[in-house]
Amino acid sequence: MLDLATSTRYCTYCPKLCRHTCPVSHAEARETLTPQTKMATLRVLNTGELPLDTTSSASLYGCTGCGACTEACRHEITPGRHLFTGRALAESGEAGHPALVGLTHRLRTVAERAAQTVAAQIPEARRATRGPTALFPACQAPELAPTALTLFDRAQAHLPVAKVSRLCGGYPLLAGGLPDAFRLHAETLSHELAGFDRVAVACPACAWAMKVEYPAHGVPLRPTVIHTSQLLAEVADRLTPTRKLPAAFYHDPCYLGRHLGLYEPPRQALRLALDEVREFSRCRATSECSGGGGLLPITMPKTAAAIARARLSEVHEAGLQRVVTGCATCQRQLHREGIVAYDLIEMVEQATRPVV
Amino acid sequence: MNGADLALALAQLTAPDRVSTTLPDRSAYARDLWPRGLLGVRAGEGAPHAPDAVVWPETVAEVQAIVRLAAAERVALVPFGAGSGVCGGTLPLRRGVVVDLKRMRRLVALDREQGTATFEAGVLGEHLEHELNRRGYTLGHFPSSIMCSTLGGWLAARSAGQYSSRYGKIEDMVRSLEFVSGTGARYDTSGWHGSIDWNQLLVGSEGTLGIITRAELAIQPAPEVRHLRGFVMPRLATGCEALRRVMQRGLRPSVLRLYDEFDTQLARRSSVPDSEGDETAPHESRLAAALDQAFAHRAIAKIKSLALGMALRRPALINLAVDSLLPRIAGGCLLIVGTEGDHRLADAEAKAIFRELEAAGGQDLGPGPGERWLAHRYDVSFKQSPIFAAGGFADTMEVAIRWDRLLDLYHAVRAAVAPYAFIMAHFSHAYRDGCSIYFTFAGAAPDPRSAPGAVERRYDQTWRAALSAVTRIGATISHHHGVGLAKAAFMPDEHGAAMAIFRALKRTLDPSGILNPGKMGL
Repeated sequence: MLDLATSTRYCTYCPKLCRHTCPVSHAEARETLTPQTKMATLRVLNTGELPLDTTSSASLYGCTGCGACTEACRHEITPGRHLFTGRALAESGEAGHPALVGLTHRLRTVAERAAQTVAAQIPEARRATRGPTALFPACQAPELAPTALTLFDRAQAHLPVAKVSRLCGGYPLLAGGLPDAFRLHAETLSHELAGFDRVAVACPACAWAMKVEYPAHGVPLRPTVIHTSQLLAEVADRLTPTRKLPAAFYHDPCYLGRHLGLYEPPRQALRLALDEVREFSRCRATSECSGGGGLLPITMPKTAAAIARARLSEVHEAGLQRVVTGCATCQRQLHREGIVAYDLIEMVEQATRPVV
Repeated sequence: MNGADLALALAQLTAPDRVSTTLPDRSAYARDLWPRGLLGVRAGEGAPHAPDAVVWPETVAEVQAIVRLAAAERVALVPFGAGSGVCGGTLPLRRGVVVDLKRMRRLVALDREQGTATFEAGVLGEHLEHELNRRGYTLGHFPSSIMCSTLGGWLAARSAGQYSSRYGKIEDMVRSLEFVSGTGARYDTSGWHGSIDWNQLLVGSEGTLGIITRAELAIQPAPEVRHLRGFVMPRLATGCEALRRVMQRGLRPSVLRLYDEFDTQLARRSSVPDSEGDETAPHESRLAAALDQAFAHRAIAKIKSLALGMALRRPALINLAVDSLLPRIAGGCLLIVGTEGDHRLADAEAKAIFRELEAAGGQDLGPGPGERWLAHRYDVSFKQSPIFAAGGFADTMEVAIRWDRLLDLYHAVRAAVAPYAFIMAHFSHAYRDGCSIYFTFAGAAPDPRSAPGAVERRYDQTWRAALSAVTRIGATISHHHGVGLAKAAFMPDEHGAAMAIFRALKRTLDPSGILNPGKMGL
């Protein structure tokens, strides 16, 4: 990965060769929000040529971190990651996004509440602090934890749910430009998960953060991080479909696909459950974002909604009205726009449920 | 009307969140991709041409309302697509309002029977082609800017794609246009049939006569087959002769690209990873690639980098060596050729074209070079950043001329530019009557310790020398990049008395002179 200074210089002189991939600049149609301009802005903010304030830093928040621009870049520049660093610069200069004020506290509240929800739903005996593999549900969908346990039990993979005080890998802190808070969060979670060999994380963004960003922030994590779709693919041959569910589009979550390189495991699992796994015309590495990443639904909610609508245009066109994905944030984001969006686990559980 | 009042009025005509006067937005529209502007950015010039406001219309009625307001208030308007122009064509020289059309990007109609698609002008090229592809069609228009340019920009600058010898340039594809003149009147040429092709009045006018809001384009079924092949031609002259013969036989290659000896030689020496060591790897710009590598990997290639850095500052010597040695030692010129479409036609045309190339002394290198060209055909634009980041400059000039003066043009431009920059060329848009030459040049300030402005002076010298040679020989000053500001001074040389007609048209369609003022020599 090119360093921040080189990346921002290269982007400054680039003819905007990745702009066609950027969901934010497409939804907004503003030059200010093309990856090139955002990175050029970051360059001059970083060098001090442009004074830092909430107006000058605003475009740094116009990014979902989806990584589509990186996929298009022959220099493999990572604007999404660099813009998170830019947000940290803005935060340190008291020029952070106003909608993210108190993010550390807000995240802690959400994560603690999610952990409590799981604790209320899952018997104590099925929650553990050590073992070979544990499930780590998403803070955006803790209510799916029992469904996941049922499904993996059905596949004779009797896993516990990780017993943690906060159910979140800390991705929002990173995306919010709060690296110190992220590191503290990571240290706590790393300690709590130290008794496992593997954790199957339901949230792709947090799985990425735990796998890639914990070590980058000097926080070792003992267990290997996988996504729940990988675990599901591992046990898929032990599951017998009892019914086929109607065809649906599969939406590649950006952090699962482009960031973790996991395109096939969710499809493999879905093929068990669906009549047909319908592909978007832009899928896998060129998949379009749902608008849910990078805290965009908080910082630019209208834009995030417009991105989701754009993503769903093919679904409406096909008249299917059903989308499955492997990310609770994507699911929520797409669901808001009038489509029935399902989680992968939910679909496979339904399709393999014993006939009574 | 002051800036605040203007913004308020624009917001009333559109929506409050579709007008901006913020500094970041105004700065983002203060330049396009003219490399001269990039030198300014590198020098820390800021945004000397920031507009007063930016507006994002969503309908043609909103465009009309904006134009009427601007005409009444004598406010300059600059139509803006994606700002990928390389001639300064969208710089708001008189401030005013930038009208960004990217919110007008719908596929309006696909007429399968007629074989046309109608798109709004703000659609990005890659998105347009994607929408057609998933419906089984192609526009066949693949400019190297396809990822970062819009349909409106293509029409404004008479864009050409890499497959122009089969599908034509954008002006050949357009069937009708909708545009708004400088009075706010809306025109739709779809009903205007007869002896005058009204579309061609607007195509290439770079927003000076009207704001193009949608276009109906001829589309083609996605090709059944695609053949691509590499040949090596003994000399540049024989390669040019082969291009002429292919086109004058009425054959329609999809791709027809001939690289000069310098370009071909650099291909052999380039160690771009994707070339897999193949000596004919057809990256468009070996010069740029070599410079890129030298600059980007300075730590591990210090000597090479220093040598190239010094060479960049003394281009005359290197160009002289190239001219005198390369034709003898280069081993010929690379030519990439292809056919596509219905498999029977594509096969037959491929045979006829390959036979023609072999008759001209060409040696068939098989499909490898063509396939690699296809895989990397947009990569060259990524080479720009490392060169600028390292303190140099790079630019391209696309000109065209009749066949009998083609090599005169080539040699004249090379000789004119040689003292100031490295120069090389390829020939990638051939016609029955002539051919374009796409020159690539790169340079630097004569001395690394030069005073501020030295690299800008060197860049300007390079362009003046190049365009003077072009007009002296009688070539066009532009083939598909447009004129903008960069070439505006040479418009009278090129058009002579026709400039008066152009000005009269301007007065008729834009009596207040508000549309993209200062461009195209107007």
